[in-house]
Order: sequence, then structure tokens, then C-alpha cells
Amino acid sequence: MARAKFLCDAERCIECNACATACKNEHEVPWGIVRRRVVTINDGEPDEKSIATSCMHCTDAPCVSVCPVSTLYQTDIGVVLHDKDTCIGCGYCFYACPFGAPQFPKATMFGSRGKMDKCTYCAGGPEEDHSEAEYRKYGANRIAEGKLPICAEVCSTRALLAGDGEMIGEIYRERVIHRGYGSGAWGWNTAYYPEEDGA
Amino acid sequence: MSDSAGGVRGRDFTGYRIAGAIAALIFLFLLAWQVVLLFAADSTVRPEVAIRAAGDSPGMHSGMIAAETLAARTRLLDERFRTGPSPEAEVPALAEGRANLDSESMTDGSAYTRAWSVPTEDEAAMMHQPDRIEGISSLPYSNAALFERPFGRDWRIGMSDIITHMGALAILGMAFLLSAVLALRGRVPIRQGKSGRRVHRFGFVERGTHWMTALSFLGLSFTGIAIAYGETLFVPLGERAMGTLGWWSTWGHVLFAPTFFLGLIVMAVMWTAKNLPSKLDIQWIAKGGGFFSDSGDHPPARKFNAGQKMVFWSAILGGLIMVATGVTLMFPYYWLDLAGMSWAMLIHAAIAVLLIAVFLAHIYIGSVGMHGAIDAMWSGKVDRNWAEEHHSLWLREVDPKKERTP
Amino acid sequence: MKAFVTAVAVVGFSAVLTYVGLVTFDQSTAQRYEDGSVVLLDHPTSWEVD
Repeated sequence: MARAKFLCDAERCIECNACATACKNEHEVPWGIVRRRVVTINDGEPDEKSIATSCMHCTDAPCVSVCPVSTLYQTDIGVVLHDKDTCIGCGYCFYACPFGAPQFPKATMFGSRGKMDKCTYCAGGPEEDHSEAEYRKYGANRIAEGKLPICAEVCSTRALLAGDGEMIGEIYRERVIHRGYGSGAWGWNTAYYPEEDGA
Repeated sequence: MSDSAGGVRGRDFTGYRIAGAIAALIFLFLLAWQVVLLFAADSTVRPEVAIRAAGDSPGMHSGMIAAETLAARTRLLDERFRTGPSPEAEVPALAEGRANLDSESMTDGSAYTRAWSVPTEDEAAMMHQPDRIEGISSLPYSNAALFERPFGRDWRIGMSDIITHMGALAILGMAFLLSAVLALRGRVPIRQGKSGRRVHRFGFVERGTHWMTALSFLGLSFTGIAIAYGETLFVPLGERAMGTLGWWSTWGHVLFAPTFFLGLIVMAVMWTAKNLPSKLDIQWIAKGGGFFSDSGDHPPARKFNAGQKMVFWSAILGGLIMVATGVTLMFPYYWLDLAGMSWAMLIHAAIAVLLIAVFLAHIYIGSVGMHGAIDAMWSGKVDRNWAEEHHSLWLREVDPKKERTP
Repeated sequence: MKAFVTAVAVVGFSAVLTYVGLVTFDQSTAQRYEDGSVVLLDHPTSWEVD
């Protein structure tokens, strides 16, 4: 069974932010929220790297576990989705997330924070597929059309890979062997293999 | 006072004891259920929704089609020379993006989670070391520069595996203990019976502050419990109702905070001096406050005995921690980053459940647990015999001239 | 009794006041960036969160 994952090849990411931009456009994500972003580490140093990140759709996802009203749920392809109609804006998912994915439309008070928003792996939400309500709350549903997240499909250097976890892992490994170097699958240990010790 | 024959006995409050026994049974059942949950419940997250190819072939087969569709699309991300599509090559049929995948709810997803948790040898070799990684981001959003914080997984364990269970055990355990005490021991009686003559104990401001803080605390507790245990408590009502109740609770939680804080401050100003520890407290604690026997041989106390002092300091210190962490959480990023806020949330939750357990005991002893105690905060005047038995030194301070009631 | 009723009134009044205050000073994240650090488009987004 396909286990959908994200993998960002840090050697290939050129911090063009096309993924972040395409994501915002595809789902008309409101101001103040960014579902995908690019982080540059060791900026200006010889080992500078940029990595595109978003919700990683974790195995045994901490956000789903802590959610007190079962807003968050996981699908059998590993994608973690949310139900904006039951979200109470408590912020538990935001504290439990290892990747800073959950965000709230209002950055102010506890009760008035609004409904949580995060990456849906372009899989919409619990509303009817392709309905107006689904688009307004969660954005486009590309998975229902058999497409992969726009951020990965738009990536010009194919640094950001999405889709079947085994396949993107294979693509990445072949690439590393071919070019002779690679810094590894960033975030995979924390996201997908929580029981493994740091490799 | 030391005569053990005659006088009112705790076990004479039959009605109270029957009610206590019923309550004890209920709480024992809930407590047992909670203990079973503690050991049996597996908090591992399982998938609840299956992605399937829409159409007339249900079950596993449609799941395979969905997986193949996504796999075919994934193949397009491989090196271009290998997989196309290039202008000359044919696009693989499944990868065209014209599929129709649907979702349906599924039951046992634990096998998925188990399978997902085990990396292949190749995957294990290619994983990057997990670490807290923060860089810079050109996006102007709070927290955008964060890449990874494995602490999120620890936070989840702290919250859903430790504090939630600990809190349920503490609250239900305390409720069970108190109702069992009521059933077995009865109320703490006024040994001499009510004298009918009353002594002024708390003024209007003291009582008003007490009730203001108490009501705020109750409001905060109920909304807080609704937020923390909503999934368990509201589940029979359905997910929509759960969301609505949770939403009200999230809003309501903040609304009680200002009066709670104000009450803490005023109480600290009014009562701190009288609640400083003294030698009498050791004696009081050694005798268990005279709580467990009807002998009437209560250890002497001034205005506040050691038990009341402990409640006072729980309220002041615990309450101030709650206010400090709570206000922090209301203003994300204003003075703490995500790591700081995560700790604030853990502390807030842990102290909250402990305070609720402590104040269950306070509410109990101030109402059904002890005959005559509620008058102190309700009318402000207590019966002389009650004062004599529980606060003999205080009674002498406020009323030195009058003789003891025989 | 009187103290209790007064406390109910005070807590209720304060809750209403807090609610009004929260709603009045509520600030969306978009507004927070109105200092010019982010260029805001002048058209509304397609989904608003109520």
C-alpha cells in the first residue's frame, strides 16, 4: 500500500520558494498562513542548505494524538487531514507538531485564534470532493484527481519529492549514488520512524 | 472536650453517608475504568479514512487502484530522461491526473501504523539525524524559520500519555476518597451541637473575594476539562456537538481569567500574614487535623489551621502559575518562542489537574464534609461551638472575655 | 449570601467585559503585518474563517 511522504533533497533545493508560492495560489491560502515554506540553515556558510518544509504527515502523528476534539485524522495513505468544523483553536497540535505546521488565522487570543490550518497534501478535507465548501475551507483536492501535491509537482529542480514513500526514497537514493553525495532525508526520522533511534 | 461519650457523632449523619456510599461506588467504577484505560488503551494514531478509487469496485481492490494511481504519478518525479513525460513520450495512463479517488471511513488501521513505523534498510541508512533545526526564512511569518523540533513528539507523550491520565486519576481518585470518607466516617460533626450563638469570622470583602475566585475557578475548571477531556466526555454527542461545546469552552476559558487573577491578588493581600507556617501546624498535621475521629480532640488552631494554610498556598502559588502560563499562551510569540510556549502549556495542564483535585477536597470539607463549615463563607458567622472545636485559639483572640460554652 | 450574589455579578460582568474586549482588540495575523513588512493584496481571499 502506498505510504505518501515528502522528501526534500537539500542538495537540490535552491530556495526559489516556488513551492510556497504555488501552494498559496493553488489553495488560495489566506494571509498570515503559509502551508509550505523554505528554511535555509547555515546561511552564508559553506554548508548552507535550503529545505522546503510543511506538514510531513507523520506516522503515529502527534497532532492527531493530542487533538481533544478529533479534528485531526489520518488516511490510509498516511496523509493527515483536519476538520475545520470541529476545530476549537486550542493549539495543542501546534505544540505537538515537530515541524511547526499547524497555524491559526489570528495570532492573538486563545479563544479567538480561529480554526487551525495546515497542509492537506492537496487532499482537501472531510467535505465532499471538489465541492465549494471543501475548496473554501481546505483548498484544492488534487489527490482525488490522482495528482500529487502542487509544491512537489511544481519544483523545477525536483528537489521536493512527494508521492509513494518507497518510490521517492528510491529516486533519492539513486540520485545520491549517481552524484556521489547527499545529506540524507531531512526530518524523516522524526516524522515517519518515531521509534527508530537517530540514524 | 476530651470526653468520648455523648455528643454528636459523624456516623449519625445517615443520609449523607448513604449518598457518600453511592457516590463512592460511582467514582470507584470510573476510577477502575480509567485504570483499565491507562494500561489497555493504545494511544498510537491509526488511520481512520481510506483513499479509494471511486466506482463500482469496493474494498481492497479500489484501494490498490488508488495506490497505483498515486505511484504512477510519483514515477513522473524521477529523472526526466528515465520516465518522461517528454513531448515525444506517451504519458502513462494512470498518471494523467484524470482519476477519481474517493475516501471512505475504515475501521482497523493499526496494521498500517505498525507497517509504516519500520524503515527498510535503505531508508534507515538515508535518514538524516533528528535534531532541533532552525535556520532563516525569507517568509515573514512567526516560526517560519523552524525546520524540525523532535520535542513535539515528547510534548505529545507528556500531554496525551502522562498528564491526561494523571489528571483523570488524580481527580477521580480524590472524588472516590472523599465520598468513601463520607460513607464510612460521616460528616465531621460539631461535637457539642450548635450553640445557637455565633461569632463573626469572615467579612463581606473576604467572602466576596472567596466566592469570586471560587466561581472563576469553577468556570475555568469546567471549560478546561471540556477542552482537555472533550474527546472522552462529549463523544456520545457526536463530533459536531463536540466541536461546538469545545469552541464555547475555548472562548469561555479566557473570560473567567481576569476575576480569577484579581481574586488571587486580593486573597494574597488579605490572608498571607495569617497563613504563614507556625509550630502549631506540625502538631495539627501530626494529629491529622482531628479529622478521623469524633473525639472532639481537635488540635488547637488560630484563624487558619494547617489544612487551610495548605489550601491557601495551593490557591496562591498554583493560581499564579496558572495565570502566568495562561497569559503566556494567550499571546503567542510575544515573549516566548514555540519551545517556551510548549512548556508553558504542559505546566498549565499539569498544575490544572492537580489544583482541581486539591480543590475538590476543599469544596468537600467546606460543604458536606464538615457540619457548620459552610457558614463561615456563606453568612460569615460561625457557631461558637464549631469555632471552639476547630479554631480554639482564634476564638479566644476574637472573643477573650466570654466564657467557653459548656 | 449577599457576598455570593455579589461575586456572581462581578464574575459575570467581568466575563462580558473580557469578551467585548477580546472582540474589540482582536487582530488577525494579516493585520499584524500591516506595518508594511508584507505587501497585502487588496482583494479578499476565497475562503474566510468565521
